[in-house]
Amino acid sequence: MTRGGLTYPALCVLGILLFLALQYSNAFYSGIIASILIWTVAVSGLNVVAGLGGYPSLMQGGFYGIGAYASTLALNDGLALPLAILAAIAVAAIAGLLVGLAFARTRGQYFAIGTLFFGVVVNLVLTNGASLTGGPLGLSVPLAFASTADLNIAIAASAAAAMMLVHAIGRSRIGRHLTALREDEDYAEHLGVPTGRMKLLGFTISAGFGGFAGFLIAQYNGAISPDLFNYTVGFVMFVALSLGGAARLAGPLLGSALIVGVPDLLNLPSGAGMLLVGIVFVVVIIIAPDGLIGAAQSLAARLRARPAPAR
Amino acid sequence: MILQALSNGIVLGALFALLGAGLTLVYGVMDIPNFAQAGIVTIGAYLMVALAQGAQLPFFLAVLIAVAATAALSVATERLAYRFVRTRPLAAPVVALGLLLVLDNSALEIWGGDHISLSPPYAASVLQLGPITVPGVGVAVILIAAAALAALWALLRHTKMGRAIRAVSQNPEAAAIIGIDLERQYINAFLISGVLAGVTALAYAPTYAVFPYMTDSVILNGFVAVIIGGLGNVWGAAIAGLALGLVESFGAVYLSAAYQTLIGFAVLLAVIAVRPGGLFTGGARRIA
Amino acid sequence: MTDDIQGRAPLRRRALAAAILASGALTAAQPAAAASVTIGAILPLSGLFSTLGPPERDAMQMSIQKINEAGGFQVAGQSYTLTLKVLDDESNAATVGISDYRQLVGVDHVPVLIMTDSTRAYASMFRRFPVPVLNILDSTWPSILDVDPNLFLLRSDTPAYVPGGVWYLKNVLHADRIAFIGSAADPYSGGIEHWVQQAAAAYGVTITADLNYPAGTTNFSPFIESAMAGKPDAIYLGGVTQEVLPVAKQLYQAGIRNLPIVHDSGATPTQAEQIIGPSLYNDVMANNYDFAGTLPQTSTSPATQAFYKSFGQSYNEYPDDLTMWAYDAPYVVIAAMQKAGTVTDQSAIYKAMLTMPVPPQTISGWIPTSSGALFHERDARTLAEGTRWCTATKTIAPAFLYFLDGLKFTHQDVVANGCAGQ
Repeated sequence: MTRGGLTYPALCVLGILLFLALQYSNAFYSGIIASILIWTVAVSGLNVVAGLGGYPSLMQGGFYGIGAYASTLALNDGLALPLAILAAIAVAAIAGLLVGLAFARTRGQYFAIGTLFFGVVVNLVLTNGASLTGGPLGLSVPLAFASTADLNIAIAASAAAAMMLVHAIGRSRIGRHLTALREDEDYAEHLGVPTGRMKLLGFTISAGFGGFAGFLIAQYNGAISPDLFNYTVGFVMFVALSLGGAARLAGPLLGSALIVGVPDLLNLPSGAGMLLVGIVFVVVIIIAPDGLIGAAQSLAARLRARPAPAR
Repeated sequence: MILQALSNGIVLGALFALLGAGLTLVYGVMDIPNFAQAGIVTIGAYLMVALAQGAQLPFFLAVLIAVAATAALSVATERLAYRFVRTRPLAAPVVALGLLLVLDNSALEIWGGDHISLSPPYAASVLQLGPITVPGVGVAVILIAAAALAALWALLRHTKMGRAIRAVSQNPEAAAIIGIDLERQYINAFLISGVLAGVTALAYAPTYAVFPYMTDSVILNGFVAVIIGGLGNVWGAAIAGLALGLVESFGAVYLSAAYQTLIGFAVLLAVIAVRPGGLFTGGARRIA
Repeated sequence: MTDDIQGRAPLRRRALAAAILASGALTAAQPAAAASVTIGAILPLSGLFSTLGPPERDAMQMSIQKINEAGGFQVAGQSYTLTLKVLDDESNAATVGISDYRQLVGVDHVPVLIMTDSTRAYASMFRRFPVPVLNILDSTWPSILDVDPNLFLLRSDTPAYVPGGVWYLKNVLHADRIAFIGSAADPYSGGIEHWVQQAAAAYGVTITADLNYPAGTTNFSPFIESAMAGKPDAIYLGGVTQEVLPVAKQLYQAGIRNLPIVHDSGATPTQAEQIIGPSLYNDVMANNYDFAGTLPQTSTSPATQAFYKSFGQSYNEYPDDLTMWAYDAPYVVIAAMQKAGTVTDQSAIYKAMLTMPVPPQTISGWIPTSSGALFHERDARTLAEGTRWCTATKTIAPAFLYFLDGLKFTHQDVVANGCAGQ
């Protein structure tokens, strides 16, 4: 993550532009933009553990779901909006902490598979805990904002804030430790990096972002069901990150825009949309492992005849 | 009731064993979690329906053609996708899931999402053993799984191809040194695994229905069997699969039906957290 | 996903000519060209409920085509043709359905919306983007009519027909002990379960087992095993067609072949053949009894019989209860618009629906209220009908026609030899 000084103001301007787009385009386009921005929040969170930390979590969809249900249940119980948001972030973060503890010694592809199965377990619990979660048909979500304009402000601001936060984390001590972890975990440990704690922290932060995104989608959609949060969603969020470019600031935004925007704009039924995503993903992962932004950066570097910038 | 649950559990376990064997073979040779196996089983089932009921071919001819097709499809996934991520173990699970997305949704787009049925000639038969009733299609699962696993054992133990595959899975460098063509063995592993996928389709499809996501639930159980049994260990996967089937069947009747799959996953998560290589590996990976 | 039915060009000219002639005067105030009114529909054309969507769409298209070919309809002196815009919810309300709703109501501003499944999930949407909604089929317990005051239901709700199945089991099939196997994934099944329990208590039937399998179950053997442990005389299955028929098939394959199997899914012979398989379905369905709304084939009304024949021919599908209600839905919309005198004012159209009479061209056999209105507190009602399977002709035949007031029958007609009449 580079270009220090301009980043925050640029993101603020972006936030304002996104709000205007949300508020003034028609219901079809604003729906697509809202989905992209909410995904950006979740995928930016994923960027912390998977992009910075190099731990491929396939269960961000699970934390997304936990946050959605926690906030909805809180609102249905009569709690105020700030408490509902807190519930979403806290419950998801605690779940992240627990999963992180369970997988403290798990690495690489086993970590990926383990998180995949945890995502399945979350979905199973949401589907079958009918008395609490409403079962497969899910729950209806009361609008906690005073108006849809307020909701749009929240969504646009959240997307910009998420990227700012991840940028800040990336440049902080936590971010540097996570990067060291990604490059070579054993060596980092040897150098005195508290790898265990950093992993746990990174995973918890990621989960918290996912939970907050879940609160947003619950509010925007007006209804939630376990299907919105199955293991495919967790996988596709990882796809979005990889496609856009892991460890890149705008990677989550670009990836989400492609994954969510393209099938919706083309009005594809879900099957054809997922087919397209699957094909594009396999191709990109093979050809451009650093995602589209990474590929663009490498290309730019090569054109400038300078060595590629160290991440 | 206990005997009936036992019988149901054996049918279920046989299916998990079959799935686990196909998955673990690829794991042993290439260290890849081949989630796409689920999609290939699905396509195999659709092909059997299309050939046997659409084109009205004799049932077993339709099965043969479909199995040949699944074998070819499996090899294609290696040649077109997995081959490029052999050196990037982090990319393998996600490429596998990507392929699964492609296969499942291709089935959806080609054949639609409605549930259709595969009706083999034994669809209406019932086996009555005293107080236990086993549906004909359930007996078929057990017989097919037993035959396939026996054939696999014979192949791995007594043929040149089998020995070469085992050599690669135990120690790729040593195998290369003694002149085994690694590339060839990767393809062989996917070929065999593809045949197993087609056979699994024959066993599984008549028990419920054919639809694009028909394997999504059982493939995860197949993975539980693989991980508990030890990556690359075919017998481990088979035994673990059988045990898992029994546990789930009894769990469904005596505990809670809703969470029957949760039991398996809880065990899996515990194993991954503590001993990711599997319970029965003892260090080096081995096949058979 | 989108499925537009446009009035054809020759129609417009015909309507125009007719309007000019009818007006008589040479200096007409405005040219009476037939404009088009688009109503929206969210239907499950794919997914778990995909046995419902396509027949409903086909039936609506059939009546709309008939209406437009006859010159369309008139509201406040203006001629219109009717257009239907159908979006697939893929049996997934919270994901696909909600975005379809946004499109039809938020972007296209349809004056009336037609729906059929998972209605409860849209509760928040009904408040944010209100519109009068005609629901063709979604009977649950509690009723969807409690979800939002803008909803109307075109068929009798669950308690109006489920008890008939239990009564028939007890009094015609002489079954005193039943096992219930339902789908935890489906509120339709949950509603059936509730009313089976109520009816069993009222009519003196024992429920020996009450089981619900979780979402995504493909192996019903533990449930079948538990159900049979109590030695029932009959098995009651809850859920829609794609849930019920696979269970019926596995019951048969487990050797359970002479117990009555009762349900409320409205399965057609075509669906049975596809889901169970051509070699097995006739034997599996032999002991099936299905209790839902009236079928067109049992109607004495010539118009309904005509619909039965022409739908079967045009669409190669078996016309059942939901096809009648879907066929009639456009007539309800048009009659409401005519009563309200507007094709765009949702509020006026809504008020008109509350008190409108049964439109004369409808074939469902709706029974009006004592004051002659179509909707009894937003619910349109018909007789209920139980059917049985005829193995000789591989199709269904009437077994029981009834009308329930609570748990009491105000109409009760057991048809002894339904199969013989084929």
